[in-house]
Amino acid sequence: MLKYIFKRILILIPLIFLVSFIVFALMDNAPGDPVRTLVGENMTEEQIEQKREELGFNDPLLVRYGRYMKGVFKGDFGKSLYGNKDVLTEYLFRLPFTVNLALISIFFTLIISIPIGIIAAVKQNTWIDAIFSAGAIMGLSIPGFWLGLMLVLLFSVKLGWFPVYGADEGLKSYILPAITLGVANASLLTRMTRSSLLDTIRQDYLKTVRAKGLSERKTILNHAFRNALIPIATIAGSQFSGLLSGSIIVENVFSWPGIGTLTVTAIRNHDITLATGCAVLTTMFTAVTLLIVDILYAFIDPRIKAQYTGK
Amino acid sequence: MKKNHKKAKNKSLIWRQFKKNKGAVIGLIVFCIIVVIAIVSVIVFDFDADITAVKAADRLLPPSKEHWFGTDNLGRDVFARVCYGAQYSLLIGVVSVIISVVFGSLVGAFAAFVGGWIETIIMRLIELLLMIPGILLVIMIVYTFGASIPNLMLALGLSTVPHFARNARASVLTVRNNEYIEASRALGASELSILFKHVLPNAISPILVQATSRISGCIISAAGYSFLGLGVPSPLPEWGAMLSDGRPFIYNYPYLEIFPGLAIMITVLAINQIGDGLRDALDPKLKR
Repeated sequence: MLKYIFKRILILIPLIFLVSFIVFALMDNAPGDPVRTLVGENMTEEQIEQKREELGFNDPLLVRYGRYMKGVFKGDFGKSLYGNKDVLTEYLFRLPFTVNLALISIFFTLIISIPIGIIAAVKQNTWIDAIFSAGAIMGLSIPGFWLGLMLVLLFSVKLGWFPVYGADEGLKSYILPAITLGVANASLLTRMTRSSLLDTIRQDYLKTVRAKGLSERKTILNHAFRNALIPIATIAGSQFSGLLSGSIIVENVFSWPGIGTLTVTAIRNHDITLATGCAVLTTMFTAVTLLIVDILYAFIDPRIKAQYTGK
Repeated sequence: MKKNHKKAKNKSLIWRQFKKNKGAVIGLIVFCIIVVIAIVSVIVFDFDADITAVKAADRLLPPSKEHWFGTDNLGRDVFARVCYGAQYSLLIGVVSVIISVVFGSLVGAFAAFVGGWIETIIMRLIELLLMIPGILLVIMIVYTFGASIPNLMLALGLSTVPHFARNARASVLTVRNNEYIEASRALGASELSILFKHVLPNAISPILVQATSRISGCIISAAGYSFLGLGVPSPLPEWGAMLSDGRPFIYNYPYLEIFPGLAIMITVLAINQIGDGLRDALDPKLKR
């Protein structure tokens, strides 16, 4: 198990190199001149050229990349071109907004989709199942950002229940963005729960359980569901890590002060250091989250644990 | 002759399975209607006069008999624009998935077929690429090369190549060990012809199912990127771009945001239903 964790952590190193190189090379070819944006319009060409030399923008791509990576491994992601703020500090300041939102959203997702999925599976091929399944495919088909706009229109503008944007009103501000992010995930998870449970319901050992005289309710909850839980947990875990980067567009709808908005603003401002930093940090953070989720599975599923220790 | 007969039988079997799923059939019908709308609107509407021309006198009219979906802040008819926009979403969805399927299948199938250290290197690289959030890649690619339809298609397509490559490799690996492959090898067929004639056709159904669901995903993402201003540029009536244009007016003129969004939803719903039907028809094991 330890060996496995160690291996997974080692993978992060080439990942950092790869993602930062891709982003670095892309942003290098991006339109706009970061130095010109930085110094303002009143400078002469010579002054701009001097500044460029000073910041090291005239070195070849690989030299600059090497310098950047040297900094990254010391924990220095450079300073943003706008406002001259430390990239890592700025990122870590915004991160909790995105993480909290993702946590609340996945919480909504789980408490809604698991019960519905179980009911749909137990009542398979009835009208209840049909309605839930239709709802799930609807939920999968709604563009998240559009749903967010519609929710704001109804609940914030018409009814005034929630703030229109931002994260200033505590838990109240989290509700609409969390639901917006959760609908597609909840729909997928409902379908997964249903099909995973249907799979286990057909297993032979459940016949034994029923034959023992256990009530149907107990059979489903204590035996079938616990075994159906593993694929459900797998999906939920990857959904959570997906939310960390996937909330970019929805964050924009709610003007949410998270890392998604930070990334998009950096890109729009041609702020190369900040944008590269955001991309590298988000990738690393997502990868670490997935790693933690994977380790947690080993605790739910003894079979996975046995696999690692057996190797 | 006999082989063709068998193929036709297989196809009709898949179709019969597909027909059993009412939702999938409705989805297919709706999808066909959307395709017809997309084609007809290109013929009926004039791009300059009906889609992009500014008509100051008609600004922000609510839905009425003349303007079914109202008009936007530049006096353009929203109904015409929504209909005209269908082609963009369909095109982006289909083309970007074709890019992912073609590149992904080739890379994955190649890796599975050559094996050895080349396979190891390719798969390690794919594993790494899979860990980079696709949304970041797409945004950076589109930003770097400029917001346009071809760039968006390329970015969306490339960002999912690793997923398709991984799945294609897995399907090829399962198919490769079948006896009929060994038989054709014994008959002296070259490795490449085995790959294209026998392995890929038999590995195609999981790829097809994945591709269908990916089309709807691409349509939603494309609209999202256009909404951010990092997708289809504004005067074009792509649905996400329309949502972005109408956003400042959402409080007083919500219809500007409702109709393009509904159009995306209906299109994606139809494709998702088709995808479900295809999955059930192609993979009897998954059928419930």
